[in-house]
Amino acid sequence: MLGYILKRLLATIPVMATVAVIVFMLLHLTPGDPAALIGGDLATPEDLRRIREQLGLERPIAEQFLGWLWQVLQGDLGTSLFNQMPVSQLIAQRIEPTLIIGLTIMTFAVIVAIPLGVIAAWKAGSWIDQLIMTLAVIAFSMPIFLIGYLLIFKFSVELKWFPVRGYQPMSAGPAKFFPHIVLPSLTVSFIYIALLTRMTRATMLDVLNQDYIRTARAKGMATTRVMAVHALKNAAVPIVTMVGIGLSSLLGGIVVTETVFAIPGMGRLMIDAIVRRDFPILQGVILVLSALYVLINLLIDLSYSLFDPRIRY
Amino acid sequence: MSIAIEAPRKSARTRTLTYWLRRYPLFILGCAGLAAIILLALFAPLIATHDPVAINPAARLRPPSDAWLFGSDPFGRDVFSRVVWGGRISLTVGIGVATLAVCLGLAIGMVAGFNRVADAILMRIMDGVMAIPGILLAIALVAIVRPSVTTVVIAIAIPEVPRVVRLVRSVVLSIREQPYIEAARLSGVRFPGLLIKHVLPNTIAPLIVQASFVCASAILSEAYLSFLGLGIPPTTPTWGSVISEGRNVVQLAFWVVLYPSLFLGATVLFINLIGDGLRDMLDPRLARTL
Repeated sequence: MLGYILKRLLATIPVMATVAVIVFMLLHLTPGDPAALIGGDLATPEDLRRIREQLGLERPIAEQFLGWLWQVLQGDLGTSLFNQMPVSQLIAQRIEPTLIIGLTIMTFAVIVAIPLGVIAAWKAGSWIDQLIMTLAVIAFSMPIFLIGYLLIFKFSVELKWFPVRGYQPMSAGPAKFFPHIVLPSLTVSFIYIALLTRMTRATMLDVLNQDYIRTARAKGMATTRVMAVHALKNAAVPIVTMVGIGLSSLLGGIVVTETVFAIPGMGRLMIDAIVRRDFPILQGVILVLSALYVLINLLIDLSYSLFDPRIRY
Repeated sequence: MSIAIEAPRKSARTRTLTYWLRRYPLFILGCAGLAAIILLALFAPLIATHDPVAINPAARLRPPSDAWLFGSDPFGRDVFSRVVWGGRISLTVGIGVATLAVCLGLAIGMVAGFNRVADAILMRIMDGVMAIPGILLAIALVAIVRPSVTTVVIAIAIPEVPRVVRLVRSVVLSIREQPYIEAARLSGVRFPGLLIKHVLPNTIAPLIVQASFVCASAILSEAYLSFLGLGIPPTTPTWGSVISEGRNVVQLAFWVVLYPSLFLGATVLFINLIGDGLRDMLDPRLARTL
């Protein structure tokens, strides 16, 4: 097991290295002077000189990259050009809402989507299957802001159950914190639930065609038990894998949702940084969110043996 | 002894619309809906009731009425006309991204499938690109260039490429060792010809399905970019930018956000329905499972 963990950890190194190269190259991919790009149209030559100096743009590009990478590995994501604060500190201040909403969505979506997918596969071809699948494709196609604003209208403006926008940190107490994350989480959940429902159904249909399912049914086992014990357990690995892969669109969805609900998370931090051409923040946010994505997928990979005892490391 | 001769079954050619409607109702709905949206966009100059960019401070935030079908926005521009014109951008971006991502993915996937060294390098790069959430990468890419339709198409297409590459590569890997490829090789078919004549046709069916899903997600991504204020310059009406301008007045004038969102959602839904239908038709193994 330990050997396998080590091997998987090592395998993430080339992925993260590629991410680092892409994130670093963002500034250098455009034709022209990166300092002019950051400074914008109104920058004076003095501004440009200051930006060049702060980012070390005078040095050869390989040297810049290695220096930057060395800093990142030590947890230093650079300094904001706008308010001179360390990027890692700015991200630490903003990571809570993004993480909490992400985790809420993942939990909620798994609880809703897996039963829906199982029912759809169980009753494949029936009206209930068609209903679930039609709702899934609709949920999958709806723009996040449409869902978000409809929820705001119904539950915040009309029913006044939840605040319209904003965020209260966890430290403010659950009574203040909780109402602020319900609607944003629900908004992004639709897409994720649709994705997982479709995947659960497809995998379950595959499994339900196996011989051992027929055997279990033939010996008179109750359908619910066949579904839960024999089928779902064998479908678990692909479903859990999809939970990890879907995280990519989940994180993207949260970025948009933070704007809909005016939540000061990492997405807002990034968008505000772009408007001010504060590129170290942009680079930092992308690096951290990508690392999070890779890390969670690594954990999911390692969890396979929990679901399938045939997988031994 | 008489032999009953069955009447020949109807061939695909003579299948009627009712056959298609009964067998693939959602696919037909998707086609019809998308056709309507395309027509709306094509004939935008004839259908729009107002100039989509004319600012009219006297007519700010008018609710929907006969004169202003979908109401007016905070600058007094007609939302209906902007939605009709905005469809052009969304469809252009969707088709542009799908074409670009498929072409790039096809080229990279073919090379990766046939050359082990290139495969190792290219797939590591693809893994890295896939580790960055797609919208974030697109946001970062438009942030470093001057946004225009072209740059937005490129920025949205790049994060979509790795999935196409994986698809093409898996097809290439599965047929590379097939006897007919070997036969073609032995009979002297050279490399570009081998790829184009014998490998490419096998990738077309799954690629068409993938392209429709890429197109749908690209239309959403473009709207998200514009909504965040990072996309195509706001002087050009797009669904995302109309919604973005309604963002701050959503409680006063929900129509500015609602109508473009509905058009956007419907378009994406129609394309996804077409994609699902195509997959059912082209890949019978997967039919009715996913």
